[in-house]
Amino acid sequence: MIVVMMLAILAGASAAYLGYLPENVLNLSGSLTDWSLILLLFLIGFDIGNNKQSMKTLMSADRFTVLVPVGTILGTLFGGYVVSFITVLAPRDALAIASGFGWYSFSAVMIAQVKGSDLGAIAFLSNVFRETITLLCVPFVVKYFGPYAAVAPGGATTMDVTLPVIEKYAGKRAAIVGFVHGVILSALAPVFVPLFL
Amino acid sequence: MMGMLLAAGFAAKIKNILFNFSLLALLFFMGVSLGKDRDILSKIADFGITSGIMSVSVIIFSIIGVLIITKLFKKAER
Repeated sequence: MIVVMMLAILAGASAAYLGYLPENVLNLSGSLTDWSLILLLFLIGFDIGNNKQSMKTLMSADRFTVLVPVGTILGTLFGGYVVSFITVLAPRDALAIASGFGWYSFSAVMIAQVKGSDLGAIAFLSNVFRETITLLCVPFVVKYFGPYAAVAPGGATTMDVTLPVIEKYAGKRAAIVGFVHGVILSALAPVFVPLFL
Repeated sequence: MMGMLLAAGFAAKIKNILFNFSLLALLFFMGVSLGKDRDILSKIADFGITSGIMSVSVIIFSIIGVLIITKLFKKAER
C-alpha cells in the first residue's frame, strides 16, 4: 500500500508540475481535498468504533499497556520539540508532525490541508521513515533496552505493520502491549495533530 | 462519532474501498499542490533531511520516554 500511496503523490506532483492537469481540476483540488478528508475522518471514526477486540484487549491487559503509550507520547512530543531547534520548523509545526506517531497517511493529509503541502510532505516522509527505521531497529532496541522500549519507536504502527517484528524479537507479552499501544496512539493522533495546527 | 454509531451495520468491504479511495485522492491532491510549486525540485533535499532528523529524534526520545516511565513505575512499586 505504501508504494501505491507514494505513487499517488508522485502522480499528482508530476501531473501538476508538467501541466497535464486542466485548470478547472487545479481550481477544484481544494474542495475535493476537503470532501476526501471528511470522508477519511468519518471512516477512521468507524474503524475505532468497530474495533471491539482491541477494546477487550485494552481492558484485560496489565499496567504496561498504559505506561508504555504514555512514555511514547511524551518522548515523541519532546523529540519533535527538539527538532524545532535544529531545523527550520516552527515548534508547533514540529509538534504537529511528531503527533502523527508514524501514521503517515493521516498526518500528512491533515497537515497539508491546514499548513500547506510542503509541511504535509515533510510529515509524510518523516512518518514513513519512522515506520521503516522501526522495522530495522527493533532487534537492537530489544537487545540493549528491553522489550517494552522496543514498542516505542513504532508509534501508531505497532497495531499493524510493525507488530510482527515486535512479536518476533520482543515476545508475546510485548506484542500485546504493542497492539494496545498502537490502538491508543491511532486514536490519539487525530486529536493531537489538530491540537498543534 | 457517526462512525461509532454506524459501526455494527456498515459493510466492511465498502468501507475499505471508500477508505482507500479517499486516502489516495487526498495524497494525489497533496501531490498536485506540491507540483504547482515551481521550486519543488530544489526543496526535495531539504524535505528529506528535515524528515530524517525528525524521525530519528522522535524514535530516540520515545525510547527514552518509555525507559524513564517504566523505571519510575518499578521504583515506586518497590
